Order: sequence, then C-alpha cells, then structure tokens
Amino acid sequence: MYQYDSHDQRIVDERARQFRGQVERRLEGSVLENEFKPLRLQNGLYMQLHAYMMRVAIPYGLLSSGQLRKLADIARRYDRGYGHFTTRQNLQYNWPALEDVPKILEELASVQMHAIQTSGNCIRNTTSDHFAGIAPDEVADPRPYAEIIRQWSTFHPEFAYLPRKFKIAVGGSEDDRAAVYFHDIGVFLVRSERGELGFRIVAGGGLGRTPLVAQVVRDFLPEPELLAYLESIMRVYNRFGRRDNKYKARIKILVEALGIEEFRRLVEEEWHKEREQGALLLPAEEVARVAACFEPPPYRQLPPAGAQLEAFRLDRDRGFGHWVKNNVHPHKRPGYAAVTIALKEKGTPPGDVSDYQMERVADLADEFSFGELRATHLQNLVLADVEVSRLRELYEKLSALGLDAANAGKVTDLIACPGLDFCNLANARSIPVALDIMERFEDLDYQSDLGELSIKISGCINACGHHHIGHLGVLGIDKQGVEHYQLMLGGSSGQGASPSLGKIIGPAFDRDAIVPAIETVLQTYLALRSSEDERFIDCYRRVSAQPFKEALYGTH
Amino acid sequence: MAKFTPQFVVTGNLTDDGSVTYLKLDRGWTPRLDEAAVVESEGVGQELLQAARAEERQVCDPYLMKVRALGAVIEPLSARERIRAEGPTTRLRRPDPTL
Repeated sequence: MYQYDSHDQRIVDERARQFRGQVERRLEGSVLENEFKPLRLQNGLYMQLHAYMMRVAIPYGLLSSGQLRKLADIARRYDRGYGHFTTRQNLQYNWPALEDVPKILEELASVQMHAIQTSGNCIRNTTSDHFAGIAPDEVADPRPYAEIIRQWSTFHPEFAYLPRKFKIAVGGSEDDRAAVYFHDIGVFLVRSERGELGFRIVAGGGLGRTPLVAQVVRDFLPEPELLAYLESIMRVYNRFGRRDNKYKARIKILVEALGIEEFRRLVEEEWHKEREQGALLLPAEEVARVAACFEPPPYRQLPPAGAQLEAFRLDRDRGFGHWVKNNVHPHKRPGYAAVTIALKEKGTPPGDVSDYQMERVADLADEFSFGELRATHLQNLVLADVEVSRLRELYEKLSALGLDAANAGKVTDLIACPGLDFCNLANARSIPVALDIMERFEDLDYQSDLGELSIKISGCINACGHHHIGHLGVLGIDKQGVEHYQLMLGGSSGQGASPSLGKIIGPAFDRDAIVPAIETVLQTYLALRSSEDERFIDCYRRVSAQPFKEALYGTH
Repeated sequence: MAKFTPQFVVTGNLTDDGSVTYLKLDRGWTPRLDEAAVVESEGVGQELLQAARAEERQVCDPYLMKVRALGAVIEPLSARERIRAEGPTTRLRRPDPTL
C-alpha cells in the first residue's frame, strides 16, 4: 500500500498540531462554536445527537493491520470500545470528548492516517472497488489513480471553497462495485481500441434529495490527462455551480440544468484551454512511483483451486459451506481468494466492530492476507489475498470472534446509516429496522433461496444508507413526530446489474409494519420469479412494480 | 378534545464532550430532562434561550424543544428529542467472546 513520504507526514503532523491549538482556544472560551464549527468539520469532527462524532478517512478503503490496531486502540482509550465502518469506506467514533480529539489525530498521524476531507465542502475521501488489484475482471488496478487523486485533491487551493461537498470514485471493472455512477465524478479504467489504458469519465451522479445516475462526459481519456480533466470539471462546477441554495449546489444539479451536452462542451473547452497553457499532465514516472506501492504481494505459486472451492461449498458443515459460497470471491491468482468479513452479526448495528475484534482481525490479516485489509462501502471488511487451502482455518478463527456471518450479498448483508439513534440530521431510526430484518431473515437456507439481494436503509433524505440504490430501499421519515418508512424497489448500485434508482412503491409504513412489508415483497418475488436463477432485480425489472404494489396494498 | 399547547425546554450539547444538556430554573445545566426548566410559552422560552446563548463556552447551539409536562414527568414531543433524552435505542458494543 502507499507509504507516506515526508510531505504527506508533515501535512498530517501539522494538522494535528494546529487543531490542538484550536481546541484549546475553544475549551478556554476564546473561540466560540460558530467560529469553531468550520475548523472542527475540517478535521472530521461533527456534533451528533448525544456526543461528538469523529470520522476517520480510510483512502479507498485500504488499511494495514497496524492501522487497524491503532483504530482499535483509539476506540478503547478515547471512545467506547468500538468503531463504525461507514458507507464511504471510512470509520466513525461516536463518543470522543473534545479535549481528546487532538490526541486522536496525533495517534492517527503516527500510522499515516487522518480525518481530513471527511467533512465540509471539499473533495472528500476518494472511494474505490474493495476488490481492486485482485479482481479477475478488472482492466487495471484503480488504487494508484485513487491515490494520485487523493494527493492532488488534498488541500488543493483552488477547490477549498466549493459550492458543496464533492465525491469521486474510481472503478477498475465494468462491474461497478463502488457505486461509481452515484458520485459527483466517477472514473472507470478502460482500454481504447488500440489497447491503451485510460479512463471513462462520468459526472453528475449522486443520491440525497435529488438522486441521479451520472452521465458520461468522456468515453476515453488518455491516462496522462486524468488530473487536467478532473480540474476542468471542477473549474466548470466551481464557476457555474449554485451557491445560493445548498440543496441545489451539487454538481448533479448543474449537469441536469445545463444538459450533458452543454456541460461536456464547457468541460472540453476548459480542458483544451488548459492544454494550450500547459496542463497538469501525469508524468509516467510519477504514475509508476505510486503504482509500485500497489505491487502484488509475494504470492506463492499455487495450483488452481476451483475443485477445492466447489467441495467447500458443499461441505457437510453448512455454515462453512454457505460462508464459502457467499463470502469467498474470485481472485486473479490461482489458489487464492478474497474473503468478505461481514460486519452484519445479528443484534449488532451494521458496520460496528469492537476494539477486541479489530485487533483480532488485524492479526488475521497478518496471518492470512499479507497484513492488509479493505473496508467496503457495504460496511464490511475484506481480506483480499487468502490461500484457498486455508479458508477453513480462517473461517474457524472468524467464528470464534463472532465474525462468521455467511451472508455477503444476501438479504441480511444490508447497509444502514446511523439514523436517529445518533445522527443530527435523521428523521427516523435505521439501525433497529436493520436489526429486525437481520433477525427475521436469518435462516441461511432462506437467504440462499432468495439469492443476490440488497436492502439499504437511510434515516433521512440525505441517503447515507444509499436507499435509492438498494434492490429494496427503506427511507425513514417523520410523520407528526412518529417514525414511518417509505419502501422503494428496483434500485441498483451498478454491481451485477445496470445502475438504477429505486421507486417508492406506495404510502409509508409505520415502524411495526415495515419489516412485514419487506417480507411481503420477498414472498411476492419468490412467487413471481421465472426460475430459481432469476434474481430479485431482474424479476422486478421484468414484472415492474404492479404485482408488488398489489401484494402490499391490495388491488383497490 | 381540547387543543394541546406544547411547553418548552432549552437544550443543547456540552462543549466538552457533546453530551445532551438542559437548562435548569437556576440557569445551571443538567443532563436530566426531569430537572429542566419548563416554560409555558415560546416567548418566555426565547428569553431563556437568549440567556443560554450567552454561555457559548459551555454549551453549543442551544435551542428550544417542545415538551409536554405532566406533573414531574417531562415528555419530549418528537422521536428525536426522546432519543436525545434517553440515549441510543440499540446496543452500543457487542460483548467480547468468552475466552
């Protein structure tokens, strides 16, 4: 993984030192909240319902075992012994005291981490595919480009005062495992007809109160032009994006207002101007320098393990069999596999992991996966480089930690925002609904029968739980002080199916009725599917909303 | 049925740790909602709020919340304020496995 040079280290060290002074002034009263708020937000520190919340950046989700141990240590010493992995591959602490935050930043800096770009109207932490570098279907490893974007965007002076926050994702495959189409800018690695590596650039995607799928701005961008083109898009946005209304200030609104053709014309015009004036081109040696940080680990030469994997899937231990079937994923290298550690244990909020578990998972990363792991936007962890022959051993060790949920990609592998239990913006709780769903549908045979299925839950219209792109989406709303839930069907993040936005199926359900409503949808799907192989999303697209609506609300 | 008129409490989050706090009658702050000063009108509440805003060192962004006071029991009128008063409704940390 990328190792900080002296410039990177200085940035995070100085930032921690600066914030220490700012916190001291806040605590002594010489700086008041309205002055302090923008300062704390630039260090990922929010005020939530019950306490401060600190969001730690995990660039493109990649963590070393040492970093995870540090996150565990911080959770134990400065928080309440756990952390929460988010839908942007970051980690949140829900209970830090203000005076401890500078110490936390110093601890983070000691392992090349920080909380920069996790809040405010800046370019946020860049996200990527959690199978980057090992996925058999990828065009190339997206991580070097995500890292280059991280370095370019950190404290970029021209983009320090954007109309709104700005999110970039980089994907290396056609199969979109990073919800790239729902970002302000999406970057896909592609090859030209002549085999040159480059990028397809999409823009104007997003969720929130105006959900939109990003549109293609350029089909093929040569590799050296990446930053010049991103700068051109940012300049158009910075110049024409609305600043009069925060709800209309994201780039997606600008793209919609201008139309993609006019937006593209403005971007290309800016790009050509930049090129004439000596645009920022990516030097090949710099790409090579960064890419060298993501060289494959020292894999062993192993025979293909397809037969062994098949035998594992049919194992007499059905827990292990389901786990291999659902949580073990293909790998470029023969004899290796990637493993999802699903943070979806019954009774525990999605994405939550204790300090104890973090430390033990760090040990497992050292023992089984070259000391690295990834956080996913699905609120899980991934060990990317596990020898197939050692899967049972890993499974048994995860079982001892309560981290053997064999549900990756299944109905209980849901994602949920913190919701009204924690969040200052939320209208309704998300986590209790998620926990009820996990309990109601825990039977693994039933989950297998349902097949690939995603439920995503948000506690408000800001959509941190990505409800628009769940096959089933749940949106919490407030009706005269009482929590209710809208149900959406037909969304897709772009993984395994083309990207789409779910549609509200009908009137909202109250707290007691939402989980039974979801069960009705699932039972309706089982009755409607053309075969056991027809996935929910394909079935929904074939039959449309009507039969589900009738099952939920009757025919009148 | 007689129209219900809400009452008001001043609340905010403490600067030191962000915890929920309520303004008391003696102008001190308490983490307990049942110790909060309840006022009958929004106008009086606004006066209390102005006083609370002068204590920005101690409390962040104070505001008025609607309640219903029944004797000694003070009930928040929104789910948000109920959860602020009582804490998260979910388990905070999973227990470690028995070693």
